[in-house]
Amino acid sequence: MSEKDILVFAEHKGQSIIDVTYEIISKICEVKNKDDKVGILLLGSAVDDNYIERLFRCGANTLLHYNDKLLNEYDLDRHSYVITEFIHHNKPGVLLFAATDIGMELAPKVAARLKTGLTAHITDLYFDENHNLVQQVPGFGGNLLVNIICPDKRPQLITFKPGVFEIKENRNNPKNVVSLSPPSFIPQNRIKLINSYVITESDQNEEEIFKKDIIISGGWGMKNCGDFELINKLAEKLNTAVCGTRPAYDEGWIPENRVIGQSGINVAPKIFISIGASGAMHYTTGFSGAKKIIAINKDKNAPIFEYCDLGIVADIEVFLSKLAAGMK
Amino acid sequence: MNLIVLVKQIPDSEYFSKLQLDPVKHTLIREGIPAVINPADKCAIELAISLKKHHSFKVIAVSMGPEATKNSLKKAIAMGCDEAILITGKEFSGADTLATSYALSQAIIKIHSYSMVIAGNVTLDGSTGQTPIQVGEFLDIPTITNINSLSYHKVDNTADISRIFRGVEQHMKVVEMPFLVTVSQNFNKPHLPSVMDIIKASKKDIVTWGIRDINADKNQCGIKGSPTETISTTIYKNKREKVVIIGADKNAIKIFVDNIKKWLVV
Amino acid sequence: MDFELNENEKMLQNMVREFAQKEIGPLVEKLDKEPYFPIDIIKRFGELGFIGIFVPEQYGGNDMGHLARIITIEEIAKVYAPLAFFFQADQLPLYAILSKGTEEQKTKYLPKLCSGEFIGAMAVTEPSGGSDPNAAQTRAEWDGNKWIINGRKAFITLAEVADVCVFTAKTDKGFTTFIVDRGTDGFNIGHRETHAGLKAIPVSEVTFSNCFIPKENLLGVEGKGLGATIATVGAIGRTAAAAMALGLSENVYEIAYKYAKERILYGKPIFELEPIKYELAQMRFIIESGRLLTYKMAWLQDKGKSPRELAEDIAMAKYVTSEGAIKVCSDAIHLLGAYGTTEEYHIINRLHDAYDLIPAGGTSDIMLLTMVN
Repeated sequence: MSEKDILVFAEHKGQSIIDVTYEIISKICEVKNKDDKVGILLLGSAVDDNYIERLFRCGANTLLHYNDKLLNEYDLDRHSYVITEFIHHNKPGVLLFAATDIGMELAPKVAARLKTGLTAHITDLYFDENHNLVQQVPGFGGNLLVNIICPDKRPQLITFKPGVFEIKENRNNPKNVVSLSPPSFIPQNRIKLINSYVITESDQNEEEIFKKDIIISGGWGMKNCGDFELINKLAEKLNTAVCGTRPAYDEGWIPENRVIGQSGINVAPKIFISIGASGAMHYTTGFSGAKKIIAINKDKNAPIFEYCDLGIVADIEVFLSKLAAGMK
Repeated sequence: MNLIVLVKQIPDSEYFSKLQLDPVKHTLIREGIPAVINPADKCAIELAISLKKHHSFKVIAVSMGPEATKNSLKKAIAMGCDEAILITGKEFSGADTLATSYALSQAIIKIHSYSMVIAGNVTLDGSTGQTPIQVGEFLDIPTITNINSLSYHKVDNTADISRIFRGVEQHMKVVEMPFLVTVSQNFNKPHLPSVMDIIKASKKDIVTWGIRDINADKNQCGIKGSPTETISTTIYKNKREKVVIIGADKNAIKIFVDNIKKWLVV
Repeated sequence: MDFELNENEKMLQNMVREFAQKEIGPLVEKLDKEPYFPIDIIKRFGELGFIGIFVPEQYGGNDMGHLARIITIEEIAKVYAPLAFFFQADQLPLYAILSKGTEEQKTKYLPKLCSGEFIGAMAVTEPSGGSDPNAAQTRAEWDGNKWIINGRKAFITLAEVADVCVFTAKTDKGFTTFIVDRGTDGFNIGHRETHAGLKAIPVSEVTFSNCFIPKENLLGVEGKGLGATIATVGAIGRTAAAAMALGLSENVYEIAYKYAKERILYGKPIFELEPIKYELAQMRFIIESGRLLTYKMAWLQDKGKSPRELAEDIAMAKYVTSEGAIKVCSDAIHLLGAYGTTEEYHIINRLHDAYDLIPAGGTSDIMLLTMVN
């Protein structure tokens, strides 16, 4: 491997590789130079063939596969060890992760082990004339846009939040798999996992949200408007998904994987409708990529009105009921 | 036994939308913007204080920053921390997360004996969430991010921790001390210090450590030690249309529906 | 001369500000619409150490001083003036007992007042008027064993909820102060006043009919109560009113400023119009000059100056801030046009609060007389 090699860490859940991995491959293929090669690093043996083939349709050149069931279960210490061992022996110019629960702890740890630079949840990137990736990130709640490079250290590490870039399966690269065996020494788990309970529905639900054209999101203001009943009804009518603010999750109106914002997910639908949320910065940063934003709130001074294309100041219950009636 | 809390002082997020850039240096103008403890770090302090109450730990707050960071460290003491250490000096300025983590871990190595390091999971200004994990890596200690609950058992020196990870609630036992955990700003409700707490805090000194005190390699600190660098900063002004209508009358409903139809087609 | 608050004072200011915004802010809507005495908030005042902020530690206080007291009252008034008024009344008996009490009295009452376990009131004003305390008619007769009190007091803030009340009565030797505990036979709370402002804080009449007061409840020296009472009212009552008026003005100024920046007329915010700018400038001037006088007054208190020595400074601060508050409120109402007196903006409530600050601790006329004497 060399400076021209771009490595993407493929994240999988059970048999499937999650969508954001394909988003990363699609985006990097768009911006890379013609003779840059894209390698996919996959740890584990459980992934279904369909998902592997999709990697090449999105633009991958090689799959570097640690095809060992020992690596099927994610563990921070183990995974970061294997990845850094790989990097020590092959020296790609770029290493990309998804900014998921895994990525957000794995990428920093790998960056620290390699003493290289990491930029988190970029909104855009491109290569400059020195093959440095220029990475654009929002700062200070999205009020600042900063361009960052990692000029000397390699590989350049970057994380991508799900739903920021589109998947483009328009390349037909031949399937090219290299099987790897994990290093002979792998550190033991230092933390004992006693037990675990699945608390959200299958990950299918998790990824569906990013495909919706319209997303409706409710906030704490729904407390005096019959909770989320009217919102859920509207979502049904519009065939959309329901998300919300963190307080909405605390109230039990939405599951945790539907929290929008800094401590939750980022979405970029065609239309984002925010209802009964005041528009705190850590919330609005979660839908800054939406094409159009509609906000409904009874307080005309709510900050969300600085952050929408169409704002409606009205009693939420009245508006939604009238809307429901009118939409029959 | 010591508990270490990592603290960062950031501009008050209420003012983020009012930030301005110096037209010549292209750096952020911080004058006139009040500085606060990063909200998730306050929760980290609160967790440390509650552990201190039950298990008589000594809580040490550690921060890296300019002299003005002492304000936040004083607040940390008012909240109940026993000591506060500020790592400061021109060698540290301009640090990215790697250089920051290096400096913080050197300070922790100097403190030498500690059971836990507790940190906020993400800061509101940079929002990378990288520093605590990198500190954990430099110290080579087990790291668990975004915990939901933590209970420490003095009798066998272990901790039970839970968190939600990838939609799964995990229950873990840490048997190897020390370890590092991060908490979000929803983890608990930090208490307000009383007037008495403030007075007591004012009588305590903040310890300052420079690059020599923490045996740090100057090439791994500050700008020199930062693999990433900022090449440009711009103020982002959102380009939303901000058309606001008042009322829930027929007209409002019509505008709402018409816009949805229009925007779906684009 | 250092006009900056020191590090402690800044930390305190930040803390009180955060407390007021987080814990009082959400209640403002309700408190203005259906006023009630929020005992939970009062308990928080005690917990956080606000009440005894000028009281020595040995009596349950924090000993941070009077500037700290003023800052606390101001920050609370910035969010909701009526709750700041609590301190004006509650700290009067606190100061009186601290200044003139015996060790037993101090140990008995001060820690409980500081913690908020006890609420206190000070009953001086009578139906005959408060501006001339010497004309008071309440009498205390000594029967060899105990004092027997007869009389009426009017406009006594917090009497309705007070656990302890310091009051004045005339004995054969003259003007004297006493302490009465809640529930004492013959000590009754009369009708509640119906002021337009400060409604969350109860103000009522108090009557003494053959009320027996034990000798250990004599406060200070018999016949020497006038000076002590005037000192207490000056040191605590008037200064608190000044801090309150200052915070209230800042609150209303913020509302007017924000409105001016958002309200569009002729295609731009009315803030761009000269007359509006002038109005806002005048409000700011009132606030800043009031702040200087108020902080200086408190700073001199902390320097050890007696209320007597500070009588003029105190009167000036109270006069400028309280009269200023009325002007700030009515100017703000003008500025907001048709929205001026609507419930939504709360300015009309604050104007009512401001009017009721005028007689608190002495009317503006008394302030002017004090300044020139």
